[in-house]
Amino acid sequence: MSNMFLIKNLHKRYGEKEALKDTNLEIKRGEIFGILGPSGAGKTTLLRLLNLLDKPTNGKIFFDGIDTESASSLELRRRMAMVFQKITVFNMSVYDNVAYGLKVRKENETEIDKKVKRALELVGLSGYENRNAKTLSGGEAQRVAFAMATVFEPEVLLLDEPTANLDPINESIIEDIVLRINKLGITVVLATHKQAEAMRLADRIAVLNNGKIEQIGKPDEIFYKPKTEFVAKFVGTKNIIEGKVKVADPQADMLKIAADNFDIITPYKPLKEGTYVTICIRPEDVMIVRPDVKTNKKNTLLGKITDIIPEGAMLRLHLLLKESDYSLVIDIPRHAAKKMDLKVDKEVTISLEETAMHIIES
Amino acid sequence: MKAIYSVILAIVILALGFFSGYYLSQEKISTPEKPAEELVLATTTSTVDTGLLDALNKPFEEKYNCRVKVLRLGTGEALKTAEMGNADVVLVHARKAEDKFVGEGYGVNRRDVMHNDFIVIGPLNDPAGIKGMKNAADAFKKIAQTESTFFSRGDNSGTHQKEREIWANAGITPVGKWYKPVGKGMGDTIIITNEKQGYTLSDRGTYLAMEKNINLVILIEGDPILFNPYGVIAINPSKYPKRNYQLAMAYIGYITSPQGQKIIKDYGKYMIIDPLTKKQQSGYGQPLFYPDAINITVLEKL
Amino acid sequence: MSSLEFLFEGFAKAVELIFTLNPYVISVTQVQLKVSGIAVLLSTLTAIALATLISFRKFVGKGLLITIINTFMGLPPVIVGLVVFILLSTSGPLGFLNLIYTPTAMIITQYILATPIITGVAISAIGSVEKEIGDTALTLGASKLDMTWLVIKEAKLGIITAILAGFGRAIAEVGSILIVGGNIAFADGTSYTRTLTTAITIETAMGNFATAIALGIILISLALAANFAVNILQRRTED
Repeated sequence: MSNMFLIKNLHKRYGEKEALKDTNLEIKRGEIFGILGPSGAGKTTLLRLLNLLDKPTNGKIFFDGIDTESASSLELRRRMAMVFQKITVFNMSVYDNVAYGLKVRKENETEIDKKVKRALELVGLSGYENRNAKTLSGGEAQRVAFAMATVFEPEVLLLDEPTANLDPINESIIEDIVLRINKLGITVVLATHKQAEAMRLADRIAVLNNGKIEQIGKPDEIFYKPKTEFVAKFVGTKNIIEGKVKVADPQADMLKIAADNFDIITPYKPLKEGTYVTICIRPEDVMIVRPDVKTNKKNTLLGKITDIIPEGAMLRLHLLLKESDYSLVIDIPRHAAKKMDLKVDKEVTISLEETAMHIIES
Repeated sequence: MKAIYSVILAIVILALGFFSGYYLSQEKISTPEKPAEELVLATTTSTVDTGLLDALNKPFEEKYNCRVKVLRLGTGEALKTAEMGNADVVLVHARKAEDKFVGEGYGVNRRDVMHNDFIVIGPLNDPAGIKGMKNAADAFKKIAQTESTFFSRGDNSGTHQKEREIWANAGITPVGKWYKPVGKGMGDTIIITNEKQGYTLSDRGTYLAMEKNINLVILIEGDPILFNPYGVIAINPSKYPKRNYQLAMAYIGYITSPQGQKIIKDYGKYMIIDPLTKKQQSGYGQPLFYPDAINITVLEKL
Repeated sequence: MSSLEFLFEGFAKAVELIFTLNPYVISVTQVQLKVSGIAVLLSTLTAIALATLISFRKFVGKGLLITIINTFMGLPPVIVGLVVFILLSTSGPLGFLNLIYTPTAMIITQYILATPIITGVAISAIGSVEKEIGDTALTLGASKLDMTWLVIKEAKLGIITAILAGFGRAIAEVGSILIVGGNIAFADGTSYTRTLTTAITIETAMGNFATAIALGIILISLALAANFAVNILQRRTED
């Protein structure tokens, strides 16, 4: 599989601000490539550089093997399309909006007619042709924007936070459209701050922070094996415990880490004894041990519930560990919490799932 | 380089706009049945606003198949614009300035045309008590002594020059809160005088045309110093060869001819022409101008 | 006569002048419309070109150009009239064009007065179009020219406002066109360079306030009609 984009030492400065620093990337033809990061991380900057709307301060972008500096921007740009974070349609009919990309390419009327119909069908807006695009709802307008960007069959679609301004229903409609577009063979580069969205859609993800790429990998790698503390925090690992390697025993496949007032045991990792590490565990991987059930689980700790916050179908518990400064966050289903009669101030035993813990050398 | 192109583009667009405007207006604005010739006459407000020129020019236009473009200006302005070559003929009333205009070589063939007369007008209750005085200079003296409000044209027009002449005869330099130069035309000055119920010097024609709209009366008239002679002058063709000297001379010939002089003699007596509707209206029962080119008794026999 | 009576009489006279199709008033109105119409048309072409250049291009002297435009926006019309008069005078540098005391001279004056206003308002109209509109056009494959045209179309409402502002300045002008046009009407009542505004100055000067007000009412009606027409046009294009 060939590269759609190859990015080498890319650097972009706006006045004093360094928006993108020394970035290296490969985006493969046909994949959905997620760019995940908080706002201000440089996602939009990167997409604008890829779309050749802005020129890099330093570094190179190769598009389909072509050095973008040496080729006509217009010609290359016509092989891709971008959808902006701010939902943007022109003040004209839906049909004319969608036809715009074809008109500037001087396609003939019958061809335009056929393609506009197909594009509107793809986004589920057949019959909307004569409506003024400015009068549509946010979700509908964003679907028009997708039709506008795909009608001329680009090789790459660059999406800047396509669901940032939408409600959950429209969010899932748009996500569905993204998958459909990708199935047509269009490479998608998706910038988002929503980790769940990146997880659902992307084949590979780059985590961007402060203009720098922190980690590139498959969603599983990003979520379960964050390479840095930033990535861990950003992808939703709420529980981070500092510690020091006490015992590293490959034979017993065991790593014993001394934290505050307790020890934690995880599968073996090639780390020297005495190394400082960070232990990450996601809220859903912390188990509450039912008091009536005897357990032989390792890593059991005692704690007191300090707060219970409903989060959809789940409850989020805040727990203060006994004889320690650590507070942990635990997600459990409502029905389970009810069964165990969990309340604020109640003492519970928890267990940290051995294999769910992720160790980062600090 | 790009910047230079942009600037050139901007200049080209500006130039295009300018010339297309010129072309368009040449094509569309000028009257479609454009007469063969045009005469530009620079004159004073009094001849226009009384409607006299409408009565004079129509027969002339028919006779010579031409159009007369009348510039309605103050005397000073009329002579100045002619000096700049913007008119073919001038019809004004300021003898000294006319002589200077001819003397400096801008004009040729000055002829006396007519005169009207100035009057001193003021409020009905006449606070300065000048009504019925025979001598205008004496009346001005009284206005100055009583410090009654006096409005002066203050625009260097023929009327203003006449006013200064009278002040000089009275031996007074008019200064003080009571003396107010307006810097506007006769009509505007009369309106201001009416609003403030003061005194002013006006030509009879403008006053008669406005009489129905104001509360001012004639207080002094008939003093020979108040006579106001009009002269007509052609622009010197050696100075401005492109100007229409021939038609200018024809116009001078026409308004000093028995036909033109008769129109002047009768205008205002029986009818006037409304400057707005161009319709004839009943006159004031008295003429507004008195012909000077042909002796009045001779003219009446013709 | 009280001031209010002048108003009533003026209104009655305006109705009379319009319904009797007074030839002088019609001729004066025609000149007014032709002069202001052509001037505003040319100003619009220039102004949109200038506004486009300033909004979409970087070039040397851009800041200076904007300063000049802003200065000209507030230029006293009489000064413009005076300068044009001196330039076009037969003895002046452009005297050979024979334009003094012609409608063309008036058009030039109104063009100079209206262009900066239309340009200034058009620049802010184009500037108020969201940045994403232009970017979206580009990303959909538009050339710079396509994109410029699209943004101008999106700024349509603001640009129409700009043109109306220019038209307002042109049609209301008196002093400058009096100087360069000469306020000429022929003896038979056809206007050459006399407009409603300059005719009003004569009527006022002669104390014919009622007639002046009548002409003023016609002038205001024209301005209203222009706004109204644009309004209808706008609604039509929006549907």
